[in-house]
Amino acid sequence: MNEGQTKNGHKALPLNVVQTDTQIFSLRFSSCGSFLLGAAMDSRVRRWRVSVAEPAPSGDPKAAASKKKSSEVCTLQELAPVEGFKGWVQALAVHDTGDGAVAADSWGGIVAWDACKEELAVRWRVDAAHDGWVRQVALSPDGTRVVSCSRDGWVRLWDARDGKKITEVHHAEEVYCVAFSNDGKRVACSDLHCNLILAEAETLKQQSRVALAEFFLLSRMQEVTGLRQLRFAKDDATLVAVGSKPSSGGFVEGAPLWVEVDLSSGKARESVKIGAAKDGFILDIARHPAGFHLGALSGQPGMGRLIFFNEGAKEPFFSDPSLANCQSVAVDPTGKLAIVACTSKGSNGNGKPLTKDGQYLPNTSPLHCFALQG
Amino acid sequence: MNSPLCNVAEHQLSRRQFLGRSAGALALGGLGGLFSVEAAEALKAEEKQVLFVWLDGGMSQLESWDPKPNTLFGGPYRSIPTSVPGTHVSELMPRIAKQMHRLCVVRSLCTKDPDHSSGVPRIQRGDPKNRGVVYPFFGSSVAKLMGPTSSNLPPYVVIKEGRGGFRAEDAGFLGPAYGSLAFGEGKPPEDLLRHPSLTESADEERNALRELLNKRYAAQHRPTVTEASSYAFDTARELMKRSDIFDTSHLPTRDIERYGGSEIGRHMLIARNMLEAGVRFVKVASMGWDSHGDNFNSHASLVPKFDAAFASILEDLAASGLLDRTLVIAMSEFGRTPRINGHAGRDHWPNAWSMAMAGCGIQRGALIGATDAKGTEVTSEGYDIGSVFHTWFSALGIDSSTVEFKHKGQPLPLAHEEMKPIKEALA
Repeated sequence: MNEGQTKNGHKALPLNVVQTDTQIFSLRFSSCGSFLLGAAMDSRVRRWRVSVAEPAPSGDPKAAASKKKSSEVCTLQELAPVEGFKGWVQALAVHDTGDGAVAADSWGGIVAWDACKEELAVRWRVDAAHDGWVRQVALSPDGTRVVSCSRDGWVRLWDARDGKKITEVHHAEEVYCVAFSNDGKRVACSDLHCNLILAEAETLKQQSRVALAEFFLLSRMQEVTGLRQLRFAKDDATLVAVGSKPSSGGFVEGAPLWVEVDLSSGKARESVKIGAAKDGFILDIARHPAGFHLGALSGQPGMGRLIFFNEGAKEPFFSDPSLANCQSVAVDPTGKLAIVACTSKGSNGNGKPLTKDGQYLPNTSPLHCFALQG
Repeated sequence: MNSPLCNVAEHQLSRRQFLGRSAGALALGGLGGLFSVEAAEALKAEEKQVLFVWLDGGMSQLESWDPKPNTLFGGPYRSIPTSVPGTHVSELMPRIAKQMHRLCVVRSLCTKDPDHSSGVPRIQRGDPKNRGVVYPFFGSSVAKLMGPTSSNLPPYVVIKEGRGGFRAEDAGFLGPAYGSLAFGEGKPPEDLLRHPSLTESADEERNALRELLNKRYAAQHRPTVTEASSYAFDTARELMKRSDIFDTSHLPTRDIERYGGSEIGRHMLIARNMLEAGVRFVKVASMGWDSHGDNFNSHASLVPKFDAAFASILEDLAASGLLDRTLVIAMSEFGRTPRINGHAGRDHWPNAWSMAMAGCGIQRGALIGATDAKGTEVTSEGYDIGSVFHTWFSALGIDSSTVEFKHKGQPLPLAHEEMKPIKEALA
């Protein structure tokens, strides 16, 4: 199903595409919905003011007659970015209802700022929060805590008001993913070998551990970690883990994988492969206010998908395969707008492809805007 | 400080020395070649050896030898200082960083081939001018030019994943006798060792019969065929006597851990044993470096394993003194693109990449060449693989500008005749 009309009445109508000049790893809306944030490869968090409006009539009868594409245009007015990061910024979290946002870089720094102000207002920064790549950060539902995880094996809990470290726990190996439960009482994280670890939020003391082996592959001597995102279901009784069931190292092929873990039994309740090995990873998911999730699938070169998926389902109820190598998806708080960070087509290739004027350019992430209706 | 055993000026065979030693000497029988018995003996006497670490698929220079932290194409990782002031490597190689004073890193490789299928042999055969013959891999060349050490163990051994066996194709025009003996998964080829049910005397009787039949067969066939099979069998027999060198079951746990506990670590330990036992040329082949997707997680997994294994063997070879007479090489068929693709991967990149060397004849603590701030161009003199081959031969004391192979009467240079050794890389 790719016509935008879903079985539960939701529609995803493509709006326009906004070009960027860098690769975006993670997109999130501010809680007020006015701003879009993008964690980028260029050591910054990009910020845009978001507006959607009907364009001035163009007089093009074909455009007016189109049923597959909304006539609205999403405008992203770029604002001053959040700077002071080093390496890549992949980790980005925005509070669902408050003003806080936090991001972290691949050299170990964390920065918190006010996401709902046009003027950039940094609240605090910790330059050496970790020794190396901070994989993910999450904000507690009440907005008072930040949890971070890193390649250094540490999971650390920070005071979201001033950046002071509250507690920490070290794991035997790299920690890839981290998430708060909806009641704020638990933290879930996952490691290199795709072990899911549940801990008490305030102390990070481990409560239980579940091996999600389906996400892991030892390919020759390469550990391939397929698990990329964790989310607690609304009732906190289930945890959604997404990523890929890897089938090879090197190129890292794998089938997008959606696993639901029953937290009372500690066992996977649902395990759904979405597509074939060429479809890659579910790199990001975003919960729509109506309850379903939007997923960004990476795919083979030039391929990628935006999917809509209900918890407990066996397959997506919507899939748009027209996108190239989706990296992240964000849904605005009203549930009317989704933006997907993709990759410029033709991003792969051996040797040194040059532009017509002889330049060797980096890849960029076009931002595909969708009107969500239903 | 370079070892006197490996002083290039003293030990390199000049054209004059070579011709002088060759005068009146017999060529190496049916195996052909201009190389004289005396010259070969001179090289044998030096007992130089080679450790060739092949990282198949293409290790990223940006995540290893030539980091560009916090730049457009630099990736997520930091760089770290090394034991050579001013030289930095990726944070993924903390132990190698401490061995940098023993290494010579070339950051200005500029080769021609972005494909695996053609690039792998092209690099390992030295990419000479096309003369209508298939050139030997470097290991086969060394086996031909230097032969076995006094240990009489096979001169060219490969330790790799997967299946083992005798790989005649490595030898190119030199003929199958100079192929490699491959240890799949670090284990000797099947049936190499005498079956426990066979007594030593029964084995000797069988061998006597085999030799008799070989003579009869040889009378009716081309010498290269029979010599190759005899050679393979004889070297294998020598290896059978030294099964201890590939038996890792008795290695101290500390060694296994120090080498990283990984596949490449285990294989490097076997390589260390083989070098200590006197194998002339040991190649450790590590597969799976072709990180078109998820390059940064791939390298986070792979490079530290290489780091532990490579740093450990450097430490051990240095401690035992073997490094003074062992040429150590670590490289791939190309590097990886600076541009990061839509899968957070890097593709194939022969334009500007890196390799590392150490040991006999090699300048220690040297950093050769440079790339621009983005890692997209070589900004110093670029070196193709032909220059690297000349460098290796020179480090082993073989003057590749004068010594030649001979194939069916045709003299063939050891390496691309229009290229020269990388002088700064030589001690």
